[in-house]
Parts: sequence; structure tokens; C-alpha cells
Amino acid sequence: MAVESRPSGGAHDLDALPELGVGVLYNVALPRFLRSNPAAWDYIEVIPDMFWRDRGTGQQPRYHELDAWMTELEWIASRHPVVAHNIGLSLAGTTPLDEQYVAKLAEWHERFGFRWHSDHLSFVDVASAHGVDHNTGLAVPMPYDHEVLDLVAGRIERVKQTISAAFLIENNVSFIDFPDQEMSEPEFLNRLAASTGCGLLLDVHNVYANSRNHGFDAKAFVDAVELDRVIEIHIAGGTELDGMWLDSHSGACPEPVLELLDHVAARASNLRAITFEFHESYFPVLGEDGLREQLERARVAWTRRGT
Amino acid sequence: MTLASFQRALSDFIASPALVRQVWDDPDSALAGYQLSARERARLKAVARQPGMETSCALYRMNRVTPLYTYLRLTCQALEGSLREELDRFWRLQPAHVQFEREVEHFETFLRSRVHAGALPPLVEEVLDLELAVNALRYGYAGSERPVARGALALRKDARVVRLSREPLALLSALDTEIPLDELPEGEHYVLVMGGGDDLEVLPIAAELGVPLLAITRGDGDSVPADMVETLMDAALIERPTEAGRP
Repeated sequence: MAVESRPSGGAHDLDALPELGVGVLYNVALPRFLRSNPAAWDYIEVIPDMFWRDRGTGQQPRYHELDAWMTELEWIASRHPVVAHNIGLSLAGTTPLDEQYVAKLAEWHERFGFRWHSDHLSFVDVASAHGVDHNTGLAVPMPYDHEVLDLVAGRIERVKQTISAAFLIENNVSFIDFPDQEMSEPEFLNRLAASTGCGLLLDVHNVYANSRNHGFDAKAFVDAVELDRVIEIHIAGGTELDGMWLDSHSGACPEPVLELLDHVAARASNLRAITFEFHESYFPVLGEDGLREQLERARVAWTRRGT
Repeated sequence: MTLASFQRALSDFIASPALVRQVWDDPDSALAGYQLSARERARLKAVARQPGMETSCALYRMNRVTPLYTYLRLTCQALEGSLREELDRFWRLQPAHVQFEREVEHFETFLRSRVHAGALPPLVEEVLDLELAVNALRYGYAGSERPVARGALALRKDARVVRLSREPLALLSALDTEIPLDELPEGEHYVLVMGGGDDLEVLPIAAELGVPLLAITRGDGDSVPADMVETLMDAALIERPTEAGRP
């Protein structure tokens, strides 16, 4: 069974977090926009893995930082807050935690002063039949069972031992629905937050996508989440493929996502940040005006946030 | 530990629509290689039949084809009608990697082995060489490029040379317009790729230059006559690096 007690210091981590405002997930289309629209954004979220080449476990040096990307990160971090959105911790995975990777994140945490870290409620590493770990090619969800809850909580604790920062867990987008789960997703998130002291990164586009694909009420879902644990909200656009709504980060947010943003922001008493995510390939369609509009719309929700 | 086996089965499903269909047809046989609890087995059978599994399989393939089409678009086009079959073969043999560069490196290794085994025409490897040369200068991706020994002759750092068996402009045009590549007349051609970032030039060069430059690229600078070495040095096309390392 899951551990129900909150680890010492966990709640304090979240209480001490700064209010950042409205930001955007970094991609290669952004540098010019960031410089010419300084009032449009308050902070930047980065996926550290995008800034380096990983030569693989055992290689020396394993990580090669990309000069052009590092120049941008150093420019941003010297002027504005940065938060780390990780993609490689494989929190719901059964393979051993990649300690070298965690150490690299810890090094970057010290270097760039990330306000917090986050990762996804899924697994991305798996052991093959021959025992060699490899990437799944897709973030894969797991059933909301006590066994998985203990697994994820244990890995978050290991990460927090190395990286002394607040940690947020992001809710999944999932195209499959496991039968006979022991908990609902909101219950799982609430228990995980309580047992680890981590905050929640509530991706309201993921909630919207899942509600469309699996036929549930998105507002009832978020109302079942303990919204005082929500530190950050993600918003994004998506696309439809053969009747399924995908989290493709394809430009502007659909109206129902913005309605959900308003609904959550008004109730999330510890909200610290709202991040707009888009894939760089959609920037020509979105344009600078379109990106400003998305950030301005997020700022409306931010100014009306619950306190 | 059945949870690990459950995860392996789930990720195998996502990577293989054929395995998913096998679960539909004969679940006991399809799942025989996994150590699963009764509930895990029932869950896998259920999700295999959900529309979302098909979506997951499609997303897996989109995620894996994206780096290849981003960095090796011409090579993918050079595969012509065999592209889908070769991608399936590659994905069966090589697990995914989250980093684009590693996926591209693995695909490079795979394609070279297929060409050397006679399963793909040599022209595929030539187009691959051209795109890797462009990627090396544009993005700094060294790929399988051989390190340069200290004091050995080497091309200047912002240059690569590639041999092609088709006229370069006709080849690029055919790749863009999907004209069958076997309609192009064969010959011996060389291109010099120079520059960096978005400022790249691809220049057709004569064989008199191409042959020695390629020999030097392959670490066989000793085979190049001294007067040619002097000419290439004077043209600042080659150098003798004072430190060993990547080009």
C-alpha cells in the first residue's frame, strides 16, 4: 500500500515557491520572439534534454552541450526565472533510475537556478527481453494502482534526494484505458502528492484530450483533483487523428482548454505559473501575433487566479 | 517481477501493430513470452482492442519517422518504394532513442549495412553521405565521421566532399520530384559542401579535385601526389590539424 504520510520538508518546498506568472516552453522558434516581446512572458520552461547530446550510459563525457542552445539558455537564465520540465526520469518505469541523468539535472539545477522540476506520470524506458534498457518511443501510461503509486513515489523520493528542489508531477495524456484500476487518475494524483510532498503540474490540454477520447466530464475531473497542490498549469493546442484528439502542441488552444484553464486557475490557490506549449513547426502558422494572443489569454487567467 | 514484464509487453504493442493483431487472433500465443499476472494479461488483451492502441502505434511511428525525415529527408526519398519496408525492418531491429541524433546515427548504420549486403542500391549510401555532410556542417553532427589524427592531412573544418554516381543537380531534382532514380545516367561526380549553419554551399567539383579530397577525408592522404597536396593547401581546402579530434 502507498505511504500516506507527507515527507518532512515537502510542503515547505511548495509554499516557498515564487509566483512566476505566464511563460512558454522553450523551442528553437522562440529566440527572436523572446527578445522582441519581453513584456509577453515572465519565465521560460526548458526541457534540459533538448540542450545536450546524450552519448549514452558509460560514455565519457556522456553529455555534450550544444553551443547555440546554451547561448540562448544562458541569455534567458541571466535575465528571467527558468523551470525544468524533464522528460527522461521515466517515473512510472521499472528500470533502474538513471543516476547519471539525475546527476546531470542536479548539476544544471545548481547552474541555472531552476525554480522547480517536473516530469510526467508515465514511463519512457523499458527493459527488453535481453535486459537492455531502451526508450519506448512514446510516453506510456500505467494503471492507477497502489503498486504503481509506490513505484512512482519511490522514484520521486530518489530524485529529490539528489536534486534539492520542489518537484511537480504532470498528469498524462492517455489513448488507452486500463480496465479494473484501483484508483481514478485524480485520486492517484492526490495520493501521490500527499505521499511525496510533490506538487502538481496540471496539463489542462491533456485533461481535455482524455475527456474527449474517453468520454468524461473534464470539469468534474479537475474538481476531483486537490487543486491547492497545483503549482503550474500547461495549456496547448492539439489535433484530431482518426477520431482521437492528440496532444500535438499544434498552435492555439481550443476554447474548451481555455475555459478549463480559467476554471482551474480560479480555484488553484497555490498556482505559481501558467505555461503555453507549442511545437516549433507550428510557429509559422501561429506567428508572433498568435503567440502573443495565447500568452495574453493565459495572463487573463493568471490575473484572476484563486488566492 | 510482473510489472516490468507488463511494461515490456505494453511497449512492444506500441512498437508493433503486428503484435497487437496477433493478440487479437491468438492472445495466449502472443503473450506467452511475458510473465504476467491474470489481471495484467486481461488488461493487455483489453487495450489491444481499443482504438487508442492504434493511435499509440501511429504516434510511435510518427515519433520515430520525424528525426529521420528531419535530418535524412533526401535519403528517405532515395529509398523510393522500399522506404516503408526498410523503416519497418529498422524499427524491428533497433529500439527507439529519445535523441534525434542517436536515431539518425542508428539509421545510418542500418542503411550502410543494407547497402553493403546488397539489399539496397549504392546510390542510397551516396545520398546518405551527402546529407550527413550537410548535417555535419549545419548542425555539427559528426555521426560516424572518422576522427582526424594530429598532423595528418584533413579537409578544412567547414568542408566535406562526397562522391555521387549521378549528376548532382539532376539527382537532387529527381529526389524532389520523385523521378525514378534508375532513369538517371551513371557517371562519376563529386560535390564539395562548404560553410556552416544556414550558410551552406553545395558545389559540383571536377574529379581531379574530388578524388584527392575524398582520399584525404578517408585518412589516405599519403596516396595524394605532393604537387596536388600543395595545390589544395594553397587553395585552403586542406590543412594539417595540430590537434587530433573530430573534423
